Amino acid sequence: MAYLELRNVTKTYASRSKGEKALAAVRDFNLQAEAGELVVLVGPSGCGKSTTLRMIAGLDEPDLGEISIDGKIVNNVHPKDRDIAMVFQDYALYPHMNVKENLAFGLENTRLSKGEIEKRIQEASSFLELLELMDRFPKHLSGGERQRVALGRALVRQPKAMLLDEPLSNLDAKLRVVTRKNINAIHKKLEAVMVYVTHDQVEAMTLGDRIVVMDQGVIQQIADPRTLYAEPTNVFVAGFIGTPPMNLIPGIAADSSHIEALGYRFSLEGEDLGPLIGKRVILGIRPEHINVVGCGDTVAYEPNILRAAADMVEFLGEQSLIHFTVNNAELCCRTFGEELCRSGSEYLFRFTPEKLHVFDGETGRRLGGSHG
Amino acid sequence: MDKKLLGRMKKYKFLYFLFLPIAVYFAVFAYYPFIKGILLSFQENRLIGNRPFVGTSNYEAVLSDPDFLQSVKNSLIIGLTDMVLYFVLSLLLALILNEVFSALLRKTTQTIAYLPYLFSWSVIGGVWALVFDLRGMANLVLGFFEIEPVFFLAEPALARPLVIGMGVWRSVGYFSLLYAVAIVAIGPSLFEAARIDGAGRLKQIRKIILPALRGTMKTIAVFLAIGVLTHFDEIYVMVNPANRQRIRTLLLYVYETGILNFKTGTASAGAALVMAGTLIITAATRRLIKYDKE
Repeated sequence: MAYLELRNVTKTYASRSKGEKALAAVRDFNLQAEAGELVVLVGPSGCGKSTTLRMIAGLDEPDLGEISIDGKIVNNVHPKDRDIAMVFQDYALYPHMNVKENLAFGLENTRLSKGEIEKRIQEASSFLELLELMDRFPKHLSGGERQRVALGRALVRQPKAMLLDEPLSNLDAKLRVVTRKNINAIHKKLEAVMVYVTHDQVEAMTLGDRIVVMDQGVIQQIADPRTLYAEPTNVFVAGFIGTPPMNLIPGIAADSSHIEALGYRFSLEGEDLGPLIGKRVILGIRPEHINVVGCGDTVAYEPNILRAAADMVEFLGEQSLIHFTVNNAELCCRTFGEELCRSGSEYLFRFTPEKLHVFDGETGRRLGGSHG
Repeated sequence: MDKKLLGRMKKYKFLYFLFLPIAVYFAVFAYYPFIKGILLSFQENRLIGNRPFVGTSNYEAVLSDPDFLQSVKNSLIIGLTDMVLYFVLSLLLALILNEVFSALLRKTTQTIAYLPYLFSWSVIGGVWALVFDLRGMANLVLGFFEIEPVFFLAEPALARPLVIGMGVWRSVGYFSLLYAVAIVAIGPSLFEAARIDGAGRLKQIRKIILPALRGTMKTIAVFLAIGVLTHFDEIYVMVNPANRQRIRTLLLYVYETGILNFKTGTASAGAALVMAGTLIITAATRRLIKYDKE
């Protein structure tokens, strides 16, 4: 049995004014997570990820469905009795208590002995390097320090489930890396199930054992980061995961192995377009699967090769991003150390046939097979 | 004037220009009367013509007047009781209203509680006079329990409670609104964190709300301290020969002496003493509540 389980969880917010439809924040959410697993909920703002987290915490109640933690259905259990800890986006440190009191507050409301409380605080604060900050008040702490206290407050509870709501969004890039490490370390130490909410797909990919991609209250895909990247289940996931995102090009399935798009003909390998022939499809390809195979007129026409001038070249060190436009479609190619063409001259881009993804133009779902 | 200030005035001359009317207003209606009042308090009681200086004799007259001493006592009793009651009851009201789940009920109650503050004292005096009249609502209720009617307005022992009650009725809603604003400003995630941390509602009030209200409490306390000796309007509308000795406050004494009896010098001396007293009470309050510390 799963450690944390959500079954058909649905939450609707009542409409504010008459005539406005009630807003489904989360629809039919199903998830099973094991102890020791770090699950990341990711999606654009308003996709229902925070609402889901709040329902697990007990701060919001689901309209339908069940939530169970460690085999016990907790729908009607008070947040304090769910054996969870939560890290808030704004840290929610008690402003009139010093660091030590902040750490102790949750424990004082339990039946733990004073000695045990002291021990846990010591442990957590040395783990998160808070020992020197114990007498300080939140307003005298830096953002990173506050974040560590917030993590410490969750850590001392030794919860069964640790919930994190966009914990890195108020930190600068450097601190994010450090805090990510902290979170990973806590995760290993606690062996609790961790549910982490973020809108940042990079954060999701680097932290998550499994990632739940959500959009408009509905789960789009649950998978490990690699699968999510390589086999996005639909257009939304394909466009959401990856920076820059997958190129998505509308086209028509010409025959069982060819797609016509942008005035070009793309041949696919190992994909049977059978049922979609003559219908609208969306062709997807990651920027790194578009290769520069030459400049100007150096290469004769071949299938899957597009000719276009670069709109902009972003030099990023070990890689460059070439942005180009073909028939009003803005595309991006990622190259690694290859020669760039003279400015003004046209590039020849080759779309690797076995890396092409095909999505149903109607449903947005990705077509069959397992492309790598 | 130092160069920096001159430079700033040049740089922001438009802002200083905008500031001018306020400066003139205070000069004409606050500072000039203030200085004039101090001068008057050392001059003979005369409405027209030259007023010779008489040293401290006005102060001596005031301080030996039993009516003045009684009004000091009245002022302190009414003012300090009002201060404590306004402070505590408005805080309680704000805390209680904050616990009301229904927004409609909360807002309605808040508005009703705030409403009397918008009435002028004469209206409030009228309302209270009606309620506590011999044939008023209060006696109607008493009559229901077969209690003999009480002439509230003429009963010396009830005079102070009535005036204090009027003040509370008028002002508690207003001050509770100030507290309510500060409570609303507390981040909701703090309460959510406290719920997860297992803190009950009372503990949340003690550990989150009250500490967050400290700044507002200090401001209100000082504000109330400034007003302790300056109760006038509610006294003026309620005073009558039967209760005069009990509720004549310092400002009423000043009014009676100066405006009704034309003893300008004596009244000014009384007013100067009121100001000195206000300064002392305010300074003491600031010290007591450690106003300048965080």
